[in-house]
Amino acid sequence: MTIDWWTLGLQTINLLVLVALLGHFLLKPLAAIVAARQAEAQRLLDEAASARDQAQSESKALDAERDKLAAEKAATLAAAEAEAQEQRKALLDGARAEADTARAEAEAKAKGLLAEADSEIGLRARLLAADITARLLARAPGLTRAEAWLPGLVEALGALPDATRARIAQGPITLTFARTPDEATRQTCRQTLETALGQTLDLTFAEDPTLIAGLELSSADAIVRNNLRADLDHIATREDHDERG
Amino acid sequence: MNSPLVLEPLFHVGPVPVTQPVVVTWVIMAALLAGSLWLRRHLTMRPSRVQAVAEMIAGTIDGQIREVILSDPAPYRGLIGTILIYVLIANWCSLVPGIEPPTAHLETDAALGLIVLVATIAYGIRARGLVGYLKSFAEPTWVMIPLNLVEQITRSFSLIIRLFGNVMSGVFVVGIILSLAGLLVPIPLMALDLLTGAVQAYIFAILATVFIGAAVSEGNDRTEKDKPA
Repeated sequence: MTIDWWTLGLQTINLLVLVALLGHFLLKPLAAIVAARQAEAQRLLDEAASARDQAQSESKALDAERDKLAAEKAATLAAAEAEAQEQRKALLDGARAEADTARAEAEAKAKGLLAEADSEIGLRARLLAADITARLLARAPGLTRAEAWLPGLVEALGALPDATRARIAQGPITLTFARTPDEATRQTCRQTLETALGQTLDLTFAEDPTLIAGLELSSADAIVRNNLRADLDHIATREDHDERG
Repeated sequence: MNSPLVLEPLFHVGPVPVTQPVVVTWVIMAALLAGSLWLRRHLTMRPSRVQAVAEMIAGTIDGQIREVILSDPAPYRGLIGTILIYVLIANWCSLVPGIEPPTAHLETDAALGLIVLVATIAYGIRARGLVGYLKSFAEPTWVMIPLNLVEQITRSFSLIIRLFGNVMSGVFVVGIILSLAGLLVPIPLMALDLLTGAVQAYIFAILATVFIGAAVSEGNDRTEKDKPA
């Protein structure tokens, strides 16, 4: 067995060249493209991870914004509710005050109307009573005589305190009749009063038809009435007092 | 039938005789170069079927180198990958009628072994330095220096003879059976030769990787230790 050294040398050169060629044109580009693909895949994975992180971050930001909006909404609703409550309270207070005012005005007006009505009714009642009394007196002429009312007047004078009665007797006295008395009636009245007061009196006579019937003695210190008008007024005053009481 | 142990020149280039293994190697080189250029021109990020197969082969080579040498396969990829691809294609040349595999001739296998031997020494010196590489022959003791030197030669010689013997015997057996029997009888043996050729290509490449890995292993360990934690 012999070795062809030329062939050995040529094959060695061939193989060395082949190593260089395949290394440069095949294996190195293949490794480079694989590495590039791995790098690209890694980059895509990194980008995906980054995008995922960014999406999560944005999601968290959106959640925070949503919570913030919810809190603002709740605060706005609470403020609006509080404002509505205040406005409602103010409206109610205003309406209540206005109603109270209106009610007070109505009550005052009603009271005024009632008072007016009462006054009108009282006036009419008095007029009616006076009319009725006048009609009755027209049918019973004896009641219109002054002598019939004189004892009552003297009795009223007697009921007064002594000091009052003395001051009445000292001053000028006016004796008012419902109708003009005749001279005999005047003398009777003068004598009776001077007897009752115990001294001579400075007595003048007057006429007032509104008395209807009876007498009225007036002085600077007191007025003593014994007539129908005074009785009717007394009755009316007492009724008013009873109604109000 | 010509003996596979004898090489007859096909033609001469000046005083240089050009034999069939050389011509076949040139054809293989041309085919591989053309395919490499075509594939390189068509490399894309979205690989075609051919590119995917090529990437798978390159990835497998890188994986084997990384597992054996335990370091970056880039410095060794060209040599180991070329050996694997060339030996595989050269072994399978027997399928082409009238063509004998270049690896069936001792000169081609010797060239391969010689390249591996030189590459082993070169990588060892680059990894350990000249003194460190020479010291590796004294491991574990200086007494082992002759044995290690002999081993360096004999393992390369065994690498050569293993490939030569397997491929040459396959060609030889197929030739004998073809001369004795019919045309179709050697087909099972040819199919067996395909398997044998692939296995021998793998063994040759992986043993070359192991030799290189043994030469650079201490240097790689030192490099790993020098790296900051």
